[in-house]
Amino acid sequence: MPLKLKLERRDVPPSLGLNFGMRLLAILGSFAAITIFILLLGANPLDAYRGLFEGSVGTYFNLAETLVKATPLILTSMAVIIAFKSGVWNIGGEGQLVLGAIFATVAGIYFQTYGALQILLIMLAGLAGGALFILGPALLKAKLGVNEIVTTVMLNSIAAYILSFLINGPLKDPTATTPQSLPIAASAHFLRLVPGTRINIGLLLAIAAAIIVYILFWKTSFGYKLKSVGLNPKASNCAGIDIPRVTLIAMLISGMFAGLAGAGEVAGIQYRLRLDISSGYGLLGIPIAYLSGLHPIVTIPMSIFFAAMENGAEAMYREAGVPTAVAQVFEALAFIFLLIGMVLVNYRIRREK
Amino acid sequence: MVDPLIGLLQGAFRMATPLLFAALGEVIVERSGVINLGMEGMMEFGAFAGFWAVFMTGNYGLGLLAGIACGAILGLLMAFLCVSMRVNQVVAGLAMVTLGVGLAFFFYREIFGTLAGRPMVTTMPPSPIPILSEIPALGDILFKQSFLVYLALLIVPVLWIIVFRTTAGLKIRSIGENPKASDSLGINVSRARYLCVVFGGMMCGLAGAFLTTAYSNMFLSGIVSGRGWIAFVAVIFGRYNPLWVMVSCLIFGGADSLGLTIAAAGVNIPYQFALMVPYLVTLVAIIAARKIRSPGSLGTPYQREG
Repeated sequence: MPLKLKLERRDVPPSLGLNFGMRLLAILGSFAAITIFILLLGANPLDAYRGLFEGSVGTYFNLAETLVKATPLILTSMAVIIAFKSGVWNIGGEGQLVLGAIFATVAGIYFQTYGALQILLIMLAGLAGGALFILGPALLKAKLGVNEIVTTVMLNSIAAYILSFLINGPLKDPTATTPQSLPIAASAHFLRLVPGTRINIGLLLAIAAAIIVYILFWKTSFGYKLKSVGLNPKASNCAGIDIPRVTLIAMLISGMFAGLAGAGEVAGIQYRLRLDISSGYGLLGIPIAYLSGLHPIVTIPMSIFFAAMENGAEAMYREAGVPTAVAQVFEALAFIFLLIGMVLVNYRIRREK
Repeated sequence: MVDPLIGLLQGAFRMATPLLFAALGEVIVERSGVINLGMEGMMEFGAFAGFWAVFMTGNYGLGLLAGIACGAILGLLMAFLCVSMRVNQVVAGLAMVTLGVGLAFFFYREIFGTLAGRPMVTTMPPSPIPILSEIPALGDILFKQSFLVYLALLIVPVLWIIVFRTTAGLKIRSIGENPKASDSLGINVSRARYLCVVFGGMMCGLAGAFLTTAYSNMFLSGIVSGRGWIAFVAVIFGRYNPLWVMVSCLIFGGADSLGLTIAAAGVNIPYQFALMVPYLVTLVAIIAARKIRSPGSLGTPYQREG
């Protein structure tokens, strides 16, 4: 029978410690649930977790790969945070990432200069790609009030087809055996930072992005306006804030960060466009953003954690035969436990009479 | 010249069917005041369950039941989150998408491994209606479909009657418009919303099962390809009315069919653009639907005061 529960707001808002503890519990709870799944599969959880640990951070190279994988996640969760804190839903991170990657690839192939200028061009291309792709939904939302969840999601699918078209058509590499684009110029490669690994300046860019977003929201008046619109649009309107304009700008900036993630993948790792340029990085930004409490700096360790789960899942499969999709199940459950936890720390539960 | 058109229209009904099941379920859900954005995930999980059941037993009925059951499970979780826990429904729905897709992929890989050959089932054969299927053109389009297509179309008037002509429907609508007033009239808002959301989940599960057992013959992660979202738009575009939702689903299904027809026809357009058609049509629809009035309490959790 449905639980008839009554929620009473607690007298004090949750402390930082409580918030942190709740998130930790959500993650632990998700691990517990995953362990049950693993046991049901007949696999050995100890093997599985040993694999997870080794595959994610156990070796020098694996740790580096985890950081590599965290880079786009930090950026896409930035995109989510910027949007959500401003009261809009950007679910199109996936598509914006792809478009950023496309623009960056085109810049890297056809617009060759040298050194720092080339890198800057790649970055700007990524920003432009993401912003342009979200421009439609942003204008529709700001001017006409069209539901931005649907428009951004639809564009995700459309982006995948655009990518496929370009890779198999105008940008196709005729010498390659699998469908992929021409490679970008060597001068466009993001500098590798640690020899023997794929860590590149993209990681620094992502961290810098997180710091910039933090400054934007906590230290600038524009950030204050964004937050205000996000928290209470009516009051903000009365206070004279131009909501459509703020919404538009918030969405554009959000799209830019997702686009930058795509540029980083192309210029830092793949050096060309491939169909799998994004493996769900855009969508993963959402649970990461929420688990980080929509705080930009917290997304850095949280993204690393999620990247560790994704990387480690492959080793879990090798060691214990657990399907790699266990990472996605873990992420989804952690998200759901978090949502429940967010209610519990803010409200007392009472049975309704 | 007529043949491709017949094929296109026949395809429209077939492709509208999963949209229709999911959208009809969502009509009930949203009429009761809850917004379920997790349709995509529930469909995906139902798609896996239906495929697996048919693969193991060869029985289509079991396949559909499995899809419905798995949709119901996720629906129950969604109801718990949205009705009891009063979590933000948009976020809960997004979480459901990732959970549904993740669970489907997880169980599929676990059961079927990474086999080189794709596991397949025999697609449910169509059930031509005697006599009616002999009608030229119309017979091909409408009366040579899988029985699930007929089922979806038949549910439309049934649901219309339920929503607009029964007490249950009145209760659902009143909860959706004004839960506080409904509560004061003695309607159990929580219980009704639970039932509606679980029903929506079941319909999404059914839609997913259709995809892997009657529409296609295999399961791929991502097989739902955005249909959950398209069905969501169909509900709005159809003004939360089963009849207009059916029309919307036929339009979107038609767009899907059109895209495939163009892509297969070898016209001078790259096939990727043809396949974009359903998503573009959905975009146009959501823009056109921006002024449609939704149930008064849609998306707002309800709690009795005092």
